[in-house]
Amino acid sequence: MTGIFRNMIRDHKSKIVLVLSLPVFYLLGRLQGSISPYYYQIIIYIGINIILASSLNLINGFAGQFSLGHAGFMAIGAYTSALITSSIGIAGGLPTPLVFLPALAGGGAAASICGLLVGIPTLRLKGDYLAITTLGMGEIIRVIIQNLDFLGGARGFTGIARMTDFFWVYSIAALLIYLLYNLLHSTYGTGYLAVRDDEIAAESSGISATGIKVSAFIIGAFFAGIAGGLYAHFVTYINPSQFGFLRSFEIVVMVVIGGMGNITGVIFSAVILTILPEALRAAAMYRMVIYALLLVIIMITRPGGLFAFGAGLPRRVAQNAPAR
Amino acid sequence: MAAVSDLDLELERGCLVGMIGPNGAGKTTVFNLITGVYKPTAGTIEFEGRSLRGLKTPQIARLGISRTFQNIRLFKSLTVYRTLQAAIHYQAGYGLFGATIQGPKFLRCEKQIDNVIIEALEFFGLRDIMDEHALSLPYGMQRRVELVRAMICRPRLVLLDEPAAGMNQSEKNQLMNLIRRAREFYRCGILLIEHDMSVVMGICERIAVLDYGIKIAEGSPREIQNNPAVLEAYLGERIEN
Repeated sequence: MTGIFRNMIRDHKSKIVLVLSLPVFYLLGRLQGSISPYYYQIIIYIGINIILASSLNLINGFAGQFSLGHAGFMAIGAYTSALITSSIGIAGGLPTPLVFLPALAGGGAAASICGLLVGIPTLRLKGDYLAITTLGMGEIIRVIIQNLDFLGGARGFTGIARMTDFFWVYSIAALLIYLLYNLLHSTYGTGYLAVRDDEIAAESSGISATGIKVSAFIIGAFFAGIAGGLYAHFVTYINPSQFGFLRSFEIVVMVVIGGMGNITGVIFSAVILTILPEALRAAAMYRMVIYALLLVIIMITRPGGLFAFGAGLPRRVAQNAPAR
Repeated sequence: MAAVSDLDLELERGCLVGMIGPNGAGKTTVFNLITGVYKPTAGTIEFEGRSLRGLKTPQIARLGISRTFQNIRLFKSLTVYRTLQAAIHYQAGYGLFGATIQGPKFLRCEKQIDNVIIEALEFFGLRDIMDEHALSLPYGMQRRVELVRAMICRPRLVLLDEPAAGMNQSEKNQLMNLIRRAREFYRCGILLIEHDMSVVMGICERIAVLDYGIKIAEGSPREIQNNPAVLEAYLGERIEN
């Protein structure tokens, strides 16, 4: 009898963890009032960055594509969800979850459509060329938003309802981690790693590299869009300059430092790299210098990422370098 | 100058055919044409009644043609076990949704896949090292892993590109044995490129000889061994009979 029970737990381990985490997050969320707004803000940003970094991890780390435009997807999600809540909000009176969930989903969907549009033409590009194309895409999105008056243009979009809280951010983060973990531990997920490691060999084994890459972009963009929605409904004011290349770059750094394709590593790295700039505030004008120096030191000493311990996963960044 | 300009080759089900010829004769090009890596400028390529022209490599692989590579292309970061998982990926039986939700169908498919992989590992003598990084294995083992990867999806035709390269004689004997047994067990046809004559003559039922992209001879091992055109191509001089 216990044998069956134990097997059930083993087979559904990740599901159980996910389901148990939800009430925990809900309860933790109720404690919001007992900590200072400053720390609360950092905790929210950590969660949003976990979502951003993990969704990019799917594209860069699992599928081996080099995307430098993740902030563009975030921007689409932020603005789309803000539009939705503003419009529905006018109808008024609906409970928050009924408004927020479709808004986030809408933002994610809009971002993933963009991910599809980016993914398809860039399929043949590798390495540097793909990086530059995605970088360009991110900038194009930002500039388009800047020139759309009904989105507020450069002045920004104000008056967004504050709907984001601890529970929303961390349950979505948990869901994403759950999806990635399951994907990585499945035969289907191995297809991603194969495409990353040797696309020609993967195709000769019947794996559609095209399908893998496009799906990575779609899912990655979807969650980046949701992160954008969560962000917009926390800071209540967004403008295009918040979603520029620098933002994309920050997310890429989190993935590289955490270890490409390393799920837990990227989570830890998102936490550390969100806290670090804040913790360095005491250093005033030397803040960014120290931050940059730390990054350089980490890349020299542990190029595979700070947390590169996983078996079957890349040990050195050089092994993941996009094929040229 | 064409890489391959005059090749007429027919393979029956379950055959074991070898392709030989001097370096640069166009043998690997033939493989690349069959698997859709190169597009032919003229001529037809048909497999089981279907034209392969215009099909992409994964599509051709899924029709039942797999291959190994001259310079071994294993997946850099994967263990032997995961390498075989990758080869079965397209036959997983569930999709992205199933992989993330991991319901009962997923569990059933994964168990089945595990059985298939273990069976293949045991057949090829790789069970003990299944959790080793494929690239950390000795060269001969790596070639064997590539061989299993090509066979595990039960293809109808396997293209082997110089499977014996870099092996010593005893490894070659083991390889010949393995290829014979694998062909029987997996019931597939094999087309192999090889420079080592002991291997070619040892296992091939039929041999085609290429030189400068043209088929200059085809026949049983004995016929090829005595064919003056073949000898000339290899030695570059006329043989007086």
